[in-house]
Amino acid sequence: MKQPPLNELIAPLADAKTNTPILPSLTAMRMHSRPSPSHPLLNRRQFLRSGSAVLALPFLEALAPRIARGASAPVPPKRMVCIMTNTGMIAENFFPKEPGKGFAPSRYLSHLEPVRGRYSVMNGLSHPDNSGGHVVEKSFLTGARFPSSAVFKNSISVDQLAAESLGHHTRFPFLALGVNGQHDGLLSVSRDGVFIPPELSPAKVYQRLFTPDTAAESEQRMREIGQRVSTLDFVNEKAKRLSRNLGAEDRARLDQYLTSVRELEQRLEQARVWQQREKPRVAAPAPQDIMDNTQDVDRARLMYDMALLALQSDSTRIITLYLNPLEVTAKVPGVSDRTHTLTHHGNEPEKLAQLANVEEAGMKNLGRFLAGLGAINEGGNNLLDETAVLFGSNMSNGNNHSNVNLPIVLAGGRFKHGQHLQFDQKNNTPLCNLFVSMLQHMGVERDAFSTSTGTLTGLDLA
Amino acid sequence: MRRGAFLLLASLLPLPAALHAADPALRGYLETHCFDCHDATTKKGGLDLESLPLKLDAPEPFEKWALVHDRIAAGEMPPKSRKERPSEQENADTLKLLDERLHNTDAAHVAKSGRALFRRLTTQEFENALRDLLHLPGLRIKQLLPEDERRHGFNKIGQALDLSNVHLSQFMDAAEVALTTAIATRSTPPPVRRVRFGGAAIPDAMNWMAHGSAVPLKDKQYDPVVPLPSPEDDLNANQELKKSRYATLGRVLRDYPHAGGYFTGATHRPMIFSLEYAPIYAGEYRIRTSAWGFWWDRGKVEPPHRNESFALTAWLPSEGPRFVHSPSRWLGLFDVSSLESRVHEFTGWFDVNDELVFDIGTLNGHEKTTGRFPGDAKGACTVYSGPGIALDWVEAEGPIFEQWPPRSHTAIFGDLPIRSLDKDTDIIPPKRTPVRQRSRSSMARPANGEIPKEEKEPPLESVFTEHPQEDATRLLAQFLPRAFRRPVPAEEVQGYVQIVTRELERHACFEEAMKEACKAALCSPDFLFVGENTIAEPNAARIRLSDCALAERLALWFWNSVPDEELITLANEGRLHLPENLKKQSERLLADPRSDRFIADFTDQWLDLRKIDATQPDLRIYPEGREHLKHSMIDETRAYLRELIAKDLSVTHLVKSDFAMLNQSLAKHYGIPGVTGCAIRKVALPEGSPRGAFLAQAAILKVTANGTTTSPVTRGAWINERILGNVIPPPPAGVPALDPDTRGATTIREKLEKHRADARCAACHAKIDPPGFALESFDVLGGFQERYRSLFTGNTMMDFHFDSGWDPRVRLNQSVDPSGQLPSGEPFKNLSDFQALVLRKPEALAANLLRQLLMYATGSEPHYSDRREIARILAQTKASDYGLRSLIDAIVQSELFLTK
Repeated sequence: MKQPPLNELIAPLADAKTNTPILPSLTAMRMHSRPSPSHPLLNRRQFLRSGSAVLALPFLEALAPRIARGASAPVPPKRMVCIMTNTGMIAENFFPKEPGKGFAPSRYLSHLEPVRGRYSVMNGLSHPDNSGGHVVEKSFLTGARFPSSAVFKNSISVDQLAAESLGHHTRFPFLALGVNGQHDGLLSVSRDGVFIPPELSPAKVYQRLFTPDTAAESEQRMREIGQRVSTLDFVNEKAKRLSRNLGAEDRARLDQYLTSVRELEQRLEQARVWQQREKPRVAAPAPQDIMDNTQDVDRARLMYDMALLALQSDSTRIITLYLNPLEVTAKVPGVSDRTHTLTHHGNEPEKLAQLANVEEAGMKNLGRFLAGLGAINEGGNNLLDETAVLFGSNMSNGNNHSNVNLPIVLAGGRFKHGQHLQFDQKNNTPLCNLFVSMLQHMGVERDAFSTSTGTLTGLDLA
Repeated sequence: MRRGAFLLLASLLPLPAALHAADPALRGYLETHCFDCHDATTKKGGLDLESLPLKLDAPEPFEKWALVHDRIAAGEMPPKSRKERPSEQENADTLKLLDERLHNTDAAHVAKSGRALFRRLTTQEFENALRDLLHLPGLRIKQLLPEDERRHGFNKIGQALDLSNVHLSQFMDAAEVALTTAIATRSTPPPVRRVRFGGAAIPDAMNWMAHGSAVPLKDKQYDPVVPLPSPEDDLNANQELKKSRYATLGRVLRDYPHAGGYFTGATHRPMIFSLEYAPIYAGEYRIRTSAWGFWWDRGKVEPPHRNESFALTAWLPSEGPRFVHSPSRWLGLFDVSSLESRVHEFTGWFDVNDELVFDIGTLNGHEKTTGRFPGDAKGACTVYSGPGIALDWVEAEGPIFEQWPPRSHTAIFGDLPIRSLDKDTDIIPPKRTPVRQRSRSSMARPANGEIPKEEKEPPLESVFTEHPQEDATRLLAQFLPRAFRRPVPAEEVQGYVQIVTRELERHACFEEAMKEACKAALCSPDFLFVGENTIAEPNAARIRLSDCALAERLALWFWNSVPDEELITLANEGRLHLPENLKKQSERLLADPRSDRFIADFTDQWLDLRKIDATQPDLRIYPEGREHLKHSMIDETRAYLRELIAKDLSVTHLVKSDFAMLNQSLAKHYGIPGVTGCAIRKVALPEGSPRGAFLAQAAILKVTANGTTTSPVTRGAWINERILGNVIPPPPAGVPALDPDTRGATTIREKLEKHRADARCAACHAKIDPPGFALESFDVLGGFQERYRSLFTGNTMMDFHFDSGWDPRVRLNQSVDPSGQLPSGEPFKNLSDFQALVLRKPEALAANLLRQLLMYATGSEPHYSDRREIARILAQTKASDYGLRSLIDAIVQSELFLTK
């Protein structure tokens, strides 16, 4: 397979506006430098029906000999996954009828039964000052106000904030993934308010994570990194000279350039280190991309599989997944119209029925992913317990483009789950409160994020 | 209106109200006329004027005071309902005082920092700049770059053009792709191939024909290579028949030298298929087709009843599962009007493996409603009567290069020879992409098997020099001034030569080393940024732009790219800023075909044409929604703007026109007779027709619709903001959104009436909705409607009058009410009335268009202190009835354009 452009190698690295060390810590390096093909297949699991399973040493097993020697057991790494589907969810099919614990699952949530008690569903969350329908997806993980304003400026997304402090532990500080992604709406936003385009190809994700480079490829890659670093050094000097003639406001623009150069250099240095280290090996075969965009549901499932492999191999701890079923006629039984057309159902029962089928197929994928996480144990710890998985939409209702009372599920992590949390339907609670809870789960010491007013009431750590 | 750019915002602590005491007159006015509602306790509308500091050097109070000024000036405040109203004199004095303060503060800021920011190129400017710099008009790299943000709808505004490491990394990759495309990798041009194949020799055609949805035609008649399929033949039920028919067609069609006939009436899905032609090399290709039209009458070929058109598009099969708006590139529409074969020719750039696609614009029939046209399982053609397009043959020839090495190569390497690389050196050979490394379809012509080995594996050749140092210096001294749009001193060139030297020392070949130097140039701020070049004049009211910066501004506006040699030369001679040169150059730029980029980009942003695909109407209700019509819609809007500029027509044409830019499918869509053919032309409108102007153009009506429904609110807000120049505040929090209901019980207007009855909503909706009400006469595709369509409700069935006799079951439901009243109270019955009311104030339309053009042309947000210059331009252009060309000319000579 052709090598991806250099950019793809470094694109998903963390925003380097961070004071954390650039080079991976020694522990992390040791973890990754010991792929052991002869290791017994402890982790072969039935979680993927395709039969794929990770062979790489998960976190704790790699360190098991140390523990055996009496070293204190390290805290297993925390992970987070943020998933957004951008067309809303039919509320009657999504939310359970009654609040509190022990709710009867709704039509959609019945597909999460395998992880019953390990997730919570929330009704009455939204981002303050976010209205305007589709455009609001820009703010889904950032909470930035007034995304439909003519002078909107986005802010850092919750995954990027986490990656700033935790990203250096893994080969990929984060992965931004997408299904049917398009340019206009993306999930991960850098500190400068710039969208980070997601990777749409499961095959490329697999290649970047697991396919080893040949010696020649590696050499070529190292040379390209060297070239690019030299080029960056050069333009950096040019820009500095230019800045002498600029006024304050213009210099601030140029400073963005200088900062970008510096960050890019740091990323390349990181890439250089990782380039010299072996990738984890997996037994799961490389996936074949699905070219037919009506097979939206299968594509999403493939991408979920990649997310699972990435987490299990500890290639990254932070993943965003952008699901855009908008302009596709999904290949789902009983569906003959584009999803976007269906979301503008005008309350026609026939279209609502089709839409429910599409949305339900999406929920099945989620259920399968969560069950997959729940089926993986690393040294006595369950991967779902270490991973906070957010699933939601920027709209509650595609027909009227409402951006309040969003459909939200949080699964995994060590929370007291199994709840249907009801918040005020008129005066919604900020969705960012949930993000603060997720950041705390990650061990990021923050008590505020964007428009938050605290952690999410009712969602306590177990 | 925004006051402008403050990058470093000081924290805004509320200041004591006592500050107003400095202006007793203002304080008195506010106390008498405003504080009843807008004091610290009532704060109506969230506005507390009592504690709003008159501290204008911070953006927030500045904007609020500007709003106060504008509301008073518009007569909206104090409200008319108040008993005690300020006298005209009182109002005038207060406005003058506020205006002076606001203007002076902003003008002081502009004098210091300018209006526009030093900014990076937009991704479109970056792509165009590389196309022009490298003489690669077909280069496509924009899709490699992250989408630009926008402010006030435009991506040219400096504040929107952030740069992150994500951008920088992708700009570097895109520059690499551009340079790789530019550099020739062989000493001789790739062989020109001519491929010609019959119009039925297309794998897809076999399926259509087997099922009787297309027919083989020989000598303008049905060719019975298989018997005319009977409607009783059900291929799904009769596998035997299916097998034998496919076998025969498969054998015959592969080299079938005659025509394929395709029906343009309704089929169960649009007839769009790849012609299975895909070039081996990127370059210019000449595509020729021979085609004719016919009327099919249940087995017989007859002369066509009217002209039909087909489209050619190109599609690059995706390497990965990317979201693709299928056919990605529209090459053009072509007419067939008689039984006589007609040859069409198209020449343009194709990338490796770009596939040619044939699209006859079939109606998007829906399976459930295919009406009289049976599904594809049966012999449709024996019962079908309707129009068809026959394709005799397709021919593709290329790649065609004017010269070898191509200009893209000589732009970097001059006339250096290209030679075989010595194998026995320690030089690392340059990277080469294998020829035809992938092809989506094994059917692609020319097939991989036809490519001889020496073509698949050409010898490794590269640019050769005996004197790398000298040649690099000479070549870069030519390249860099073009890239940087200014003279480049020798020592600056030397910096880039050092990159070449460094790379050569690292065993790179000369080609790669030069490429690295060029890449560094294309990623440096000298190439990537614009607008820093100003002339220092102490105590000047505005910061004057240098001639170099003016050259950039002109080119970025009219070509959406960087200046060419003529502009650069004039700038270097210091003569560009002279009024006669500015006029001459803007004329030249606008007359150049590259100005299409301005027309396209400006309408994409100002009029949201880029959102034409954002929503899809339900094709069961709007079966006439075809790709051909969609492209014609876009062409109409662009051609119309082009015409307004070319003929210097009055700005009133934004709202009302006596002509329209139409082709056959648009004219049919609008119900205007007598227009034949796919070319857009100027058509005089019948008396009383509301069509022609932007307000009643299908593209505008489509981008302002909401999928399958129209909303007066969406359209009203849009027309207010884009055409009329009224600012619409965002909806207040906590108001439930309208829930569109197409079941047919209530209309959107009835729902809206309830909403408007809410006092919180009424005031704004009085302003927002009126244009939307007037436009309710137009459906989501811009067709005229007197009643709403519905699938389920209503007693009258629509008659689409499709040639094929296809009769989709769409009902007519409730009546449309296009009446309303302006915020000022004047009623209107329909769009024509509304147009007349709006036309009473052409200067408001002109002021808005000026603002939109100024944002695009100068890359700056509107500033308060622009107002006086805008007023001056308005006064100056009044004599031309605010002709569009006059407005553009006035901008070019204005202070706002000539200064930073």
